[in-house]
Amino acid sequence: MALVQMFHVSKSFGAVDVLEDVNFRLDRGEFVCLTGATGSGKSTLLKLIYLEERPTEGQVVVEGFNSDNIRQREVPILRRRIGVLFQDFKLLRERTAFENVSFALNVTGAPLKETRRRVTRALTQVGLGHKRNAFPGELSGGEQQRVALARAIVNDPVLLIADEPTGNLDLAVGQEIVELFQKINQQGTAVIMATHNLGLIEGLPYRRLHLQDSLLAEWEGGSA
Amino acid sequence: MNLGYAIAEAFRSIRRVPLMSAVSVGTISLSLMVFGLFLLVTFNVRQELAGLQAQVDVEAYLEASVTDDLLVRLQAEVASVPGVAAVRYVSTEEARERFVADFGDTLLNLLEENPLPASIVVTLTEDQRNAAGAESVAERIEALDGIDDVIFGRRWVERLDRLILVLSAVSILIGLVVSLASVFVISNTVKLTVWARRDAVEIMKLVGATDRFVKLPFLIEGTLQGLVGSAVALAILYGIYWYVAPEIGGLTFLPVPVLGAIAGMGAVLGGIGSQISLKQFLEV
Repeated sequence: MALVQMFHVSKSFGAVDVLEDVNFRLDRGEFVCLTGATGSGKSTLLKLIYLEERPTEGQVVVEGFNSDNIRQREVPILRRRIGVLFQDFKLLRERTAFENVSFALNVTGAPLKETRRRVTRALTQVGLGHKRNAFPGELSGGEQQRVALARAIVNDPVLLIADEPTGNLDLAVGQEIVELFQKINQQGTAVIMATHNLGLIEGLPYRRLHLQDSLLAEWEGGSA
Repeated sequence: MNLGYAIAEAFRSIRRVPLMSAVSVGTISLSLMVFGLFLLVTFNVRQELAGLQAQVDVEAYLEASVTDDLLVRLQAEVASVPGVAAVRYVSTEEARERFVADFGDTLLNLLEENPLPASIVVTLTEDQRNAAGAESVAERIEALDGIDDVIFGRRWVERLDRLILVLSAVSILIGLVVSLASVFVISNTVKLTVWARRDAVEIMKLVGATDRFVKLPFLIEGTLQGLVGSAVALAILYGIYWYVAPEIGGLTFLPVPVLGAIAGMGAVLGGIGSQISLKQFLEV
């Protein structure tokens, strides 16, 4: 069953065409890797999914919301079902790991007790239950990304979007992150991970998409 | 929407970046203080002018032949002229006393009888205390039977009129500049505090916060900063007043409604400023 669909999506910024006629479908529970050089439009493609950007042409349908007619006040509802990870983690430095994760639940108005339970669970899931009171500055890069991951999954999203999640991490730490993605995926959350680091996804048994010259294509040679 | 959470967030952000809040409050209070100082000066100048205007009166001299009966009627007639607030009869004896008080009695002692006529002194209603008002009142009184002559300090009143006109224009101009500057400074200061937390806004949007959810803590924070800023401003203003008043004398501090308006202006500008600054971060 389709979770994300793109129909003839083009996106340009001024005179620059970033994506051209992209058609793409992501099913529930699927794991997809998105490759392409830096600046090839991977981030833009992902932003179209969580509707930070709207297509110049075509339609994006996510969880039944259509980019053509979604109302501004429905966007937050969609975003609560999607977890997003970035290369630079985007943690709030003046908040502890626990507070950074609970931030995502606060916006939904979840009750305090429920929040505590779910944050603890999410932090445990990423192996950071013991560092809940640490501030981002006291954590390694890999640990910070795991806090960000806990924040992304604390709402039990249907989709996890990771935009170069290991770009600031060395390979071994990056692979640990990817392993966590796999675990999360096994629990039913779809994952789409963008990376330009082919070594990271080498041997992963997942579908691969490749962005080049504004065009999206299935990667034929890759998956094992 | 959880108001408690928003308030907690607002205080948390003030606590986490106290310097930022202090700078913001300081800037707001400084600009409001300048605004308040302007109001204080204007207010006192206006009071002084109103005091001068209260001295604008019209004096109607009576013919010597006026009988007591006619006098009573005349007083009523004068009092009913539009623009007249009050009338007071000054007898020849009282006129003499006033003259003696002002100039001494040498001159009057040379004369056998009192040459000073009785008069009716007319106090004008507030809106007629100017050259045109005094003039029209004087004309109507002069037309009455039994009135010999009507005088008012035309030259003096005309000069007062001009002074008031010029001062009003100047104060409106300065007031406009100062209040615009305050608006500008305060909204930009609040913009800085919002800018300092743009990452938090970005993340909130990312995890599905509604615009209202993002805005409310900033609204509370901005309003609070505006309120505290104006309180500080008013305190400093009062300090200045307290220090200067004995030197000058006759000064009055701003009335409570004006103080309230300054505080309200701080709060509203702080609040609105935060919401305007947020707009550019919310379009995500």
